[in-house]
Amino acid sequence: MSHDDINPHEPVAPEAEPVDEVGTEELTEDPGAGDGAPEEAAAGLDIEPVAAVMAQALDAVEQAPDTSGLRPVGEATYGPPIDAETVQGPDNRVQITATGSYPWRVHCSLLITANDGSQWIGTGWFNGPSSIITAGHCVFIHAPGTQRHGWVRSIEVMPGRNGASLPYGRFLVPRAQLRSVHGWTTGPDHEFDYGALLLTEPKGNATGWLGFANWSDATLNAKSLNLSGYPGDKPSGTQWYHWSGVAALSARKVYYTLDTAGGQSGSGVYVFHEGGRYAVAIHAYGGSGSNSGTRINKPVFDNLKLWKG
Amino acid sequence: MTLRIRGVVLDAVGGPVPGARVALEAGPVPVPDVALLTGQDGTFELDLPTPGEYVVAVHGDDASAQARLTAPTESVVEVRLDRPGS
Repeated sequence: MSHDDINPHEPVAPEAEPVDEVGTEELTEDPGAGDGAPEEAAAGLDIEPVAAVMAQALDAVEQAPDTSGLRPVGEATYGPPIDAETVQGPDNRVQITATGSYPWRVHCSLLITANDGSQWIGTGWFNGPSSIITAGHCVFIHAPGTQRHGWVRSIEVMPGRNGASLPYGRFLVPRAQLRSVHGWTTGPDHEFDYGALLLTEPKGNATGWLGFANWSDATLNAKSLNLSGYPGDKPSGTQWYHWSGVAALSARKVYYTLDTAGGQSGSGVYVFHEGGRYAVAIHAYGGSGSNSGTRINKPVFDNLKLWKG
Repeated sequence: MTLRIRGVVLDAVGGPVPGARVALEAGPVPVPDVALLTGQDGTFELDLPTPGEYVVAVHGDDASAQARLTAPTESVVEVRLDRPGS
């Protein structure tokens, strides 16, 4: 009987299932407010204070006459929608204008130059002094057989941008400082759609950063999800915030009804925990059913910590 | 092989609109939430994840529009920005 060159007693284990990637240990990496003006007290919050005004407005809307049986006026021109849009139901996104203050200044408007010279907009967020997290498709574009395919040439970063106002300036991150993971660059596989920009200077010391966490389904289901980013359907370069509950969870994805639009890929989906803000997913997809992001499970957490340095 | 559509964004009088934000707003599968900027001549090339029916949303500084198409049957789209944006 032959066993080739493999020791027949070499230990083996079942191949890991996706569910194993969440793990049983809840892991957190703490946020930081940076050197700028101190952050407002966040203890006891579940959504951002700016949402309170909007929430009151929504309560008022709920008391308005029921118009749910009426068709959207847009259908008169465009016909019924193919599928749920990325902005789901009433658009109750809140524009952030105080983008020079924490936490808004950790969110970055990204101007991406692809390998073929085409330009794209996306969003990223500081997870440490010298690293910005975004979607995998913001750093590596899949377009096989075209000049666009592959790592993008560079990304211009504008932290806390508010239209033409750049409270923390702008800087260019070249291709060599971009990172993603095998599951995305050899994919595309939406379950591994995340990446990073590694900085040569600690720009995040001024802006601060979000914490990030690998939490269980039970912990996440009890939280509100928050997201702020740079949607392309709003005035150019303006930051918009929204919040919602968790719609569904899988081992590698978080689904939600957060309103998003093209340009918000890479935004941090975060929750409040003991007065701090912790990202639990990286927003990446819209356009069909609930929107979704890549869940910060144990392997993603480990990579975010590696890139944070 | 990449499934690609080509298009041009024009203003109300037919001139090219550079820097307009073009994104897939709806499709048969979830779509990446990025937006492409049109070139100086108003043109763009957008890649689709799979054949099917899509809504392409275009946003300029003061106007927005949508186009519906079925890929790969339709691979060229012209979008005219002639109504107020959001």
